[in-house]
Amino acid sequence: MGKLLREISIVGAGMSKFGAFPDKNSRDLWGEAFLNCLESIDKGIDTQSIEALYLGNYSSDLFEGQGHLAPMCAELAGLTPKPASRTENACASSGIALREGVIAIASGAFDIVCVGGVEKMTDLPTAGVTDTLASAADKIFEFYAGVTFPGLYAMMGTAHMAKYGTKKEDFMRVGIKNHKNGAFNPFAQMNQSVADIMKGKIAKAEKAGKPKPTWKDEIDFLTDLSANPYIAYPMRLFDCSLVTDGAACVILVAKDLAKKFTDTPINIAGTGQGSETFAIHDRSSLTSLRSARSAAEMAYKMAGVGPKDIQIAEVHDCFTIAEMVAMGDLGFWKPEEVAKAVKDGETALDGSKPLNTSGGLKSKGHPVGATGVAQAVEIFKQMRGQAEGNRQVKFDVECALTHNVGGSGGSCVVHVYKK
Amino acid sequence: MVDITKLKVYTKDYLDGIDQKKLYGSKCNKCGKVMVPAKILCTSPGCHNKDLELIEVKPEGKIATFTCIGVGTTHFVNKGYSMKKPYCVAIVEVENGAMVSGQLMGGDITYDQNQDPLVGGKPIKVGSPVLGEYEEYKEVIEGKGGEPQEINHCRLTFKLK
Repeated sequence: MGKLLREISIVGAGMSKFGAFPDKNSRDLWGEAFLNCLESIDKGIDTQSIEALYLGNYSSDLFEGQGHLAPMCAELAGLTPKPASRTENACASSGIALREGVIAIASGAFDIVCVGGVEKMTDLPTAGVTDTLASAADKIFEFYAGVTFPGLYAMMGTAHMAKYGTKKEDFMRVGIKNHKNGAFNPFAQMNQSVADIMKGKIAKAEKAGKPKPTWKDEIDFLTDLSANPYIAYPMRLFDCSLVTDGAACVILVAKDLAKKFTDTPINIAGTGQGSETFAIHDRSSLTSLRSARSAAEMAYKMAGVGPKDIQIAEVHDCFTIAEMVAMGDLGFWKPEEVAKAVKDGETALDGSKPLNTSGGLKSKGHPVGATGVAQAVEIFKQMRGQAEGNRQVKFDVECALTHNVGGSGGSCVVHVYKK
Repeated sequence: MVDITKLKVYTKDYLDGIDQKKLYGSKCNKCGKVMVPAKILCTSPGCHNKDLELIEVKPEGKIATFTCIGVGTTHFVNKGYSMKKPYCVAIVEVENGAMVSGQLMGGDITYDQNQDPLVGGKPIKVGSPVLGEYEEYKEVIEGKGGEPQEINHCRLTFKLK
């Protein structure tokens, strides 16, 4: 129990550009990610050697009216008639696909598998997106009471404020940090810093001959309810991740085969998954996820590391409060010290433990079923010193982590990576 | 042996209970935990006892957490809620730690100078005591002969004490 029978390496990783693309559907996004992944494999790969596809997707059925995506995506990648399966655990769908791929190779069933994730979200109007996302929560006991997806995390935010004295500005600082990183990421949906967004709005007002806004700095701008309204108090527009179209892809191989594909593979040293009560009102804590704590414990134990060994991490910041909850659940900081750590810049690109160097779900975008694998793509790039722009961390990354949450925490999957 | 079929554990029974303005839960006869709605096993970590008793739970308690929603679900948007007219949903701790989600009624949601929410002019705070209120509404379904039929329903909401 708790061990992989074979070690696993990632030899290639790529993603589509994230954004809103009226002319692209799931198939097109997946194709883009798959080709970018193939391109990243240093010594190339014969795609016929890929033995199976694991594809994460939350709800193409509701978003696009198209179900059963795995064989469709396998066909596009030339994998027919290989086995192709779809995993669905809300926003953790492709984190789970990654874990299933790891377990399949570790079991000896396959040597080489392709793992992907895809979501096309922007075809529906806002109310349709809100309803589709809310269906990842408890329909009878939460949705009927009027709770939306942002509302669920907002309630964790309110509880965090009451329990730990967290301030609204603390949430804002998480968003400011992630946008700063995302500005360097050419694949990000909103690759602009909050400062640049603010300057853009001032310039736009001036050009239109409207009164010039007098925001002093980013916090002042984000405190202005007309610029940054509450979507679900205390979560405002800039506390929420984006509605995004996108896909991501990695190739996993048994470690002893990795050198055939690259001299610098990245190994998956630990995988863990957990669950939590479906409705948040049934939880023993409103500021922590048992799924995340349990997944992290499992992954740390398997990898033989602890929170202190993790140098960088991609954490599931679907809302700014979610990143703060993750910081506690992963054991990086005590829950009561999380706000201070963000304020002190510990999680910034040049901090002691950079989080979400990709820009996170906040700035890079959150095509829900693609997010888990997209996190692994960023870690692959960072650990090989290949992150674009100025977001490459300045130290050698030997050990990293991804944390991918489904729904309001009903599912969580954590992976630990080593060189 | 407990005959669980005698406990109202099914979703419809719980919702029928709400329609009759009664909140049903179950109480563990081993550890005393109260669960709403009724469950088939005790959910206390490590307990998982099957000997549960169906109880009626008083719909009153205190706010464990809350949110004020500007971008609502289609159902709430159709009721007239919007960014300009948000609605509040609270998680209320009702009895022995059991919690339920419900809308907090009692007036419009506005924000004070610290940008914290008020309902009908009163501040909404974690820990504030609330009372349950059953709101009646009608659902129109297709009847046996194909003609529309009205059904009376209730939903559980809360109001500051």
